Amino acid sequence: MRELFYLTFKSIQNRKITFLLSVISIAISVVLLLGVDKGIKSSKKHFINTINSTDIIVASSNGSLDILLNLIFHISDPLKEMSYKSFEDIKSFDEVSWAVPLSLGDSFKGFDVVSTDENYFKYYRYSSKKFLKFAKGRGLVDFYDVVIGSEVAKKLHLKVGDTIHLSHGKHHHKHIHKNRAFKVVGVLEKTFTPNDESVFMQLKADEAIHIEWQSGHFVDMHISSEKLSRMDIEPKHISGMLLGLKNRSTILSVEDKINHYRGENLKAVIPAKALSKLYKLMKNLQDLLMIISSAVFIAAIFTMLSSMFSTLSERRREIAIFRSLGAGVKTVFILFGIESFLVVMSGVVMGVVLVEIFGLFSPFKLSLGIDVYQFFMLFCMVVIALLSSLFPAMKSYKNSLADGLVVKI
Amino acid sequence: MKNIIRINSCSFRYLNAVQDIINIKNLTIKEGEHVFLRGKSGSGKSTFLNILTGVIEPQQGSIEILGRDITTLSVSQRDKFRGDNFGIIFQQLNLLPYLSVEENISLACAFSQQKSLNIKKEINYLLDALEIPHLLRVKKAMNLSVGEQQRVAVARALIGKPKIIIADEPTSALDNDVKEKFMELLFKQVNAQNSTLVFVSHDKGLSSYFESVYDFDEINGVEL
Repeated sequence: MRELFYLTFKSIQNRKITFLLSVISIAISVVLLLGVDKGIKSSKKHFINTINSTDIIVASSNGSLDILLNLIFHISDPLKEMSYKSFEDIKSFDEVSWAVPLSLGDSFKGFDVVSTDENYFKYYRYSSKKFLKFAKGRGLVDFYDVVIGSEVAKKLHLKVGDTIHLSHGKHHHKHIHKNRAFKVVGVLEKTFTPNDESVFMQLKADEAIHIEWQSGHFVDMHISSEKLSRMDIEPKHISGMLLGLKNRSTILSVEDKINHYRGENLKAVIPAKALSKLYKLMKNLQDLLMIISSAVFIAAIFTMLSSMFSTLSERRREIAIFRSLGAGVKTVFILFGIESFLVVMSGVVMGVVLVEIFGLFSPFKLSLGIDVYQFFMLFCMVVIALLSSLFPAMKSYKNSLADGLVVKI
Repeated sequence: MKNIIRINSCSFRYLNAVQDIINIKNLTIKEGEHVFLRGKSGSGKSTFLNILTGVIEPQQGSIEILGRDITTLSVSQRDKFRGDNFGIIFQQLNLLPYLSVEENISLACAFSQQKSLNIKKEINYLLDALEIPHLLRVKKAMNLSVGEQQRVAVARALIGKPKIIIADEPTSALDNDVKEKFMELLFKQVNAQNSTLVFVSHDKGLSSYFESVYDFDEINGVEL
């Protein structure tokens, strides 16, 4: 057996290039299969960790997924606004323990501006019931206060005490609220949630600075910032709200109550339910990607087989020599088995190393190491490669039986 | 002298063939004998060598080698028996091109434990005796001339001192002057090891080296 390993090794050395090509094509399929699985798993974890302990999200839209994506993940199109009056009304429900308003739409140098109140930092939880923490500074107190996420602070080199000007809408280079200076009063610790890429401001300030904007144009009313902060402008609309209940058992009745709210058309979204909807969508994507990756693997197996078949006539001689020296016919199976084992193992090792390197240096935060499922997947790949090597081995076996010691070509 | 090979009423027919390709009433070869089997290609020589070395099994008859009837052995026992007791030289392409000369020779020991003893010393002795220069010994077999390759093949057949050496047209790819040298070296070593030599060739000119000369068609009693 050791000799046969050595012989295969020597024989492969003699045709390095085809061997290497087979290994690389296996490695590519390993990278794809492993990468897709890891990517999907880490994004699932990412999604599930983003919001925790919020019982209900409310907005004036019909799609629960839209609401989740917009208010929590800050993606997807803007929602239809709900009135602030409804917010105050729902907040005063008996079952409600806390409520936080959210208003999105403005931006700051590409980062989302979230208008809310000081309660956001008190009640928002993520991952395993973790609260947001301030790395530096404090929460929203004064009118022109802003709190920034860790990525915002890092990428824009901002710190507590800096002054910034927010933009109206998503185009940060165009409409800037030039006349209103905000002060950074707090920087959040890193959370690996969209909070890291957000700028938080007072909802009332958001409302106030927009009174000078009429249908997308700036109309200077010559109001000083000082005066504006004292005008006490009541917000009229918000994008949505987060709700915490006193007792979780009332969740379905509160959901029902909000869905049948009289004042306006509202939708109550239970985050866990909406997230599971999101998983289903991702599952479909995952299945598709897995099918494509498996097809790449099968193509890689064919590459390996074609390189093996191309050596068959050369092998006839080889096998006849081995047989003359006392090797059995079964030796051909061992030789092909060893070869495909070497090809697929080298490919798997190369692929795993590449994925790990990618996981270490990519911004996607892929988990390192291999879990049981992934190990099983790789194991199956090895088995499939070994089984497929039976085809050339079978052919070679037949040749060998016909040839005996004397090869006639 | 003892009989080393004794074949009795042996016949073989390929699957789906209409008649036997081998039908040997009686063939006896003595220990240390040098036998020349003359035969044309297509006369069933290859089949005969496959039967003699246990690669294929005849449908009838007995093949007694070194006192054992190999037709009673299992397939893998026959493989082992062949590895231990035969040294075989082919017409050409005896060597694995990607292995060195020395590796090609020690290949014989990969499949036979009996041959594995004292291998290193023996390789050098044989390569010296067969006049393979030191420079060539670590080179890949593909870099050798045909004559050199055939001499290395002899070394591999002789290593481990197997009792029987089979040579199947070993000289047909060689030029005349090289051929003579080859025969000389082959005989010298076969005699030194006291091995029995079964030499198959169509080249009548070589029969003068041998004490026993048979016409294969006369031994093999089939009408082709």
